[in-house]
Formats: sequence, structure tokens, C-alpha cells
Amino acid sequence: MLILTTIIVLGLMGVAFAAILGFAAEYYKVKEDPRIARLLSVIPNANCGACGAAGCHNFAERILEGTIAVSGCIVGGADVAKKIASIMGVEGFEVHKQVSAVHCRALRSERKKRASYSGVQTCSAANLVDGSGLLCKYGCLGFGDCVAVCPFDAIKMKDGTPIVDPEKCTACKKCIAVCPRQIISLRPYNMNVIVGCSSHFKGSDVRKICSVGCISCKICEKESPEIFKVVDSLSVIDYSKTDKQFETAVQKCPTKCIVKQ
Amino acid sequence: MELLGIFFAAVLINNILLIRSVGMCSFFGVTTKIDMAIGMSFAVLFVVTVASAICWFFFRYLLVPFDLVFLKTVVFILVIASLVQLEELYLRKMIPSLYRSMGIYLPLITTNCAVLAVPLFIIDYKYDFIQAIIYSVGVCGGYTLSMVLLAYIRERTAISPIPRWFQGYPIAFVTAALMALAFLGFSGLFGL
Amino acid sequence: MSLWKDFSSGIIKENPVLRLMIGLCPTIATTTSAINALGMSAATAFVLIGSNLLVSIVRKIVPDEIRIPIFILIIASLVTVTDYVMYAFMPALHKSLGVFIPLIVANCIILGRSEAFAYKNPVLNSVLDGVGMSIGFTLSLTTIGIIREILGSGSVFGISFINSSFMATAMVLTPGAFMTVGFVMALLNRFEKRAQ
Repeated sequence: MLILTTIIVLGLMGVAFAAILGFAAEYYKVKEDPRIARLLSVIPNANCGACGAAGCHNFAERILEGTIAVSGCIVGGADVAKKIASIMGVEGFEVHKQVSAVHCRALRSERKKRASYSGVQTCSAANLVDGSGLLCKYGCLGFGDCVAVCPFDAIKMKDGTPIVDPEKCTACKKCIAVCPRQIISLRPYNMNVIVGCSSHFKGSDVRKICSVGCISCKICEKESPEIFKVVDSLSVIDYSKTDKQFETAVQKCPTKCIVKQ
Repeated sequence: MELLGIFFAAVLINNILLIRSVGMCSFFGVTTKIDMAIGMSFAVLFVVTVASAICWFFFRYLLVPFDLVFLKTVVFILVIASLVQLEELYLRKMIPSLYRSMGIYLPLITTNCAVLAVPLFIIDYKYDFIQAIIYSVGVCGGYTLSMVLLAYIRERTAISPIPRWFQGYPIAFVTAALMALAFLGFSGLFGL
Repeated sequence: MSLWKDFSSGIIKENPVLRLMIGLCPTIATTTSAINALGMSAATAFVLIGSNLLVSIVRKIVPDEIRIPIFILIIASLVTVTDYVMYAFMPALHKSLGVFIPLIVANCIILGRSEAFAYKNPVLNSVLDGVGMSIGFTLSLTTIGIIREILGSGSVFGISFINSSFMATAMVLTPGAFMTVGFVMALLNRFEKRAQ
């Protein structure tokens, strides 16, 4: 008798729950544009957030809305952009590859200090404690937070200064976000010149604290005035001028702080 | 007044995670980041309160009259699994913003011991319906408190110099031990 | 030999509690004494091996969409059986384990192994995997149970050798559990790094 009751009760429960769930699945069906599924199948789906959307599903939604460019998946690069364009029916666009550039080329031995630091060995921590005793308050701290955060293994530390591999860098901007001194920015892939200094100190002061810093002598500005401008005691490159030459400026820079990477 | 006692007992004195030690997998799995801990706590609140209410009804009006008390484990887990599925469907359609922030934790909750434990405790304590609701809300409050506290501490220890063998989970366990020791001090509060 | 690998990986290398970090609930809650730990491991072993066996037997007939509810049904029924058998034949153990016997249903190890292993592998492999995981589970639980019992009540397997009022009662409560598990994991880390 008990066995019969059990079977009936459980059986009825099972049928009832299955019916409720089946009905709910139909009633609460979310009609999604089928293009979202197609878009999701061509993007990397790593949910890295480099595009600025909240995850890959959100990226696909915004592509359909039109609030993100077809080339918005920076990590996916040109291939993914082409595939997205063909799904969306967009013709003839250009994808310009960008890579990260670190604006400090001083090696650990070239950075002068006034104190020795033995705290938590991360850039964000060292930045909080008087820049770990380095005299230059603008430059790279050298603990490698950017190296640790790069998902593509595109930055490596060499003698205390980060070197970006432009082949591996996907411009996902994680290193830019994590650098507490904010000395990393993007440059076009085919314009491989960087000002390896971020210091706004006067030229004479820079000489005292770093042998390879920018002393705002303006020689680069004289050589290639469209590209280089010295603003606030620091040489700045205008990366939109991709067709102008910069070789002579690189050769004539007295501290060799303008480098090709 | 007695309801207030039940509530505070559930939050502090018999904290579900730190004193009753139920729901451990999520306790250590989801507390690596504070937003994950908060998302999970919301999902737990969402599921536990509704689940214990429905289980209470099933127990009182189905299992007891038909003398099927031995089926409580099977029935409760079926109710919980179906409920989570239903809630996920409902949330996805009706409140998409909430779904985006905590929807991914819902499937995790089906096997969360805490969700099954609360209806079982309610039966043990022989609560009536109102007491059962207050108790489940209290349990969720205690869950949120412990999760968020541990998440904050774990985010700090992640960048601190921890001895090599203790990095990762071992130091999280030691932290939880100290937290549990602190919460033990609540016993006897309000004369409970 | 693949059979031996399925069996042995669950013992140390993929020990469910200390390496895979699943099945923590019973570890913290039921290791208040070595006997409780053994009892809990035995109950879990029965359910784990039984569910691996049954899931593996029915794996060809169960459709993919409803496999999780089916697993849950199988596990819940096995747990109900275990619960009432312990209630009948080992009432003291049943009383001290309390609500954690029905909570074996929500034990991540069992659902996880059914989903990850038993659903895709033949019967003998699944059973051996269940046995291996159970041995690993038993080893870790019993170790922690022995440590907590010695430090907390001054006894081992019920045989008391120091008066319990001299011992740290916090060890048999949750703080002791967390502390013991943390230190055992750290110890395991040290030995594993040494072997590498």
C-alpha cells in the first residue's frame, strides 16, 4: 500500500513538474535575434572586455544596435572584424592594428634612487610608497604588473624595463589599465617609434635623475615637426601622421630616448 | 519578539556558513572576488526563500498526511532543482538586467548544500510558516555576511606576502577559522 | 592500464577534498571525531559507488537533456536508503551525523563524478573510479577527524587518553575544522612541491 502511494505521489509530482517546466520554457522563451548566435560563433568568446562591452554576448547585442563598430573586437583583430562585417552585411572597411607602447626606456640601472624599497613587489603597491624611492616620479617602476596582467604574453621585462612584442600584442588594453604611472598607450602597428620618457621635469633636472630621459632640447621637433611636438618639457608623437619620416629624429636625439621598437 | 530571535540566531549565532558549516563549496569557490560573492548571495536569497516556502507546503500538506516523510530528501531536491530552472527562465525573460548580474550562479545553487539544508532544518525545528520564512531570510542574511567578509579579506590577502605553502586555499581556510572563532563569541546572545 | 589509472587517481593525485576542492561540506562538519569521519565516508562511499554504477548502467538509455534530473533522482534515492539503514542499524552514528546524511545528495563529488565520468564510461571503469574517489575521501576525512579528535577531546577512535577538559574544545567546532584543513592542505603543498 505504501509502495503504491509512493509511486503515485512521485509519479504525479514528476509529471506536474515536467509540465510546469515545459510550459514555462515556452511561455518565457526569449526570442533572440538569430544573428546574435552567428556573431557569438565567430568572436573569441573570452569575455575580456577590451571592446568596452560587458562581455561577448553584450558585444553582439551592441553590434546589432549599432553602438559598437564592426572592428570593435580588438583582440579578434582583422579576421574577426571581416567575419562580423560579412554577417552584418557591411562593405569595405579598414582595420588598423594597434599595439601597446611603454613610455619609459630606462633600465633598472639607469634609474636613480634616493631610498631602497623592500615592500610588496608590485607596481601598484610601490607607487603608493613614494614611488619606491625612485627619483623620477613619472617613469616605470619596474615590478612588472603589466607583464603579469598580459593574457597574450606580449610584454616581457628586460633589465627592469618592459618590452612589448608587437606581433603578440592584441591591444586589449589590460597593461594600460594596470600601470599605476599610466605610461603605456597605444600606437599604430606600422609606426614603430616611441618617445621612451614620460617625465615633465625641466631638461636640467632630468639630467640629474636619469641618463636617458627627454631633456626637451627640441631637436626632434626641428627634424620632423609634423610628428614631434615638445609639450610641457616632454616630446610627444602625433601618431596620426603615419606617412611622415622619423628616422633623422631618432638618430639625432642626444639622450637616445626616442627609440624604434 | 520571538521572530526577531529566530532572525538573529540565523544571522549571527547559528551562522549557516561559519557555525553550521553548510554551503562550504560555494564559500571557498566564489569568494575570490567581492562582486562574485555579492552576486552569489543574491542568487542564494532568491532561491532559498522561495524553495523553503514551497518545501514547507509540500511537507505539511503532502508528505505528512500520506505518511511519506521518508521521501523528504527526494521531494525536496526535486522541488529545488525544478524551482531553480523555473527561476532562471523567468529571470531571463522578465528581468534581464538581474539575470546578467547573477544568472550564472543559479545553476551552481542546485547542488549548494545550504539550499537543501534550510528546509531540513525547518522541519527539525518544527517551525510554522511565518517562522520558516523569517528563518530562511535570516539564513540568507548570515550567508551574505560571511561571504562578503571573507571575500574582502581574501582580496587583501591575494596581494599580501603569504608563506609559499599557504598561498591560495590554505590561507583562506585559516582566515575562515579565525572568522568562525569570532562568530562563536555570539553564542548566548539575547539569551539564545 | 586504464583501469588502474581510473582507480588510483582519486586517491592522492585527484583527491576530491584536498586537490579538487569539492565535497568540503562534510569535511568541515562531520570530522568532529574519527568515528564520525569514518561513518560519513562509508555512507558517501556507498552512495558514490552505487550512483556511479547505476548511472553507468543506464547511460545509453537516458537522453542528454534530462540527464541531470535523472542523476539527482538516482542519488536522492540511494541517500534515502542509506539514511534509513543507518537510522535502523547505527542510531548513535545517525544522531551525531544528523542532517548531513541527507545532505550527501548535494555533495558535489557525487553529482560531479556522475556527470564527468560515469555518464561517459563503461560500468567497470565507473565503479573503480567511485571506489578510488571514496578511498581518497575516506583518507582525507579520517586524517582530519583524527587530528581534530586528538587535539579537541584528547581521544582517538573513542579511546580517551587525556581528560577532555585539558584540550582545545574549539578544535571540535568549526574553527578547528577550518584550521586543520588549511594546515593539511599547506602540508600537502609542501610535500608535492618537494616531490616535483
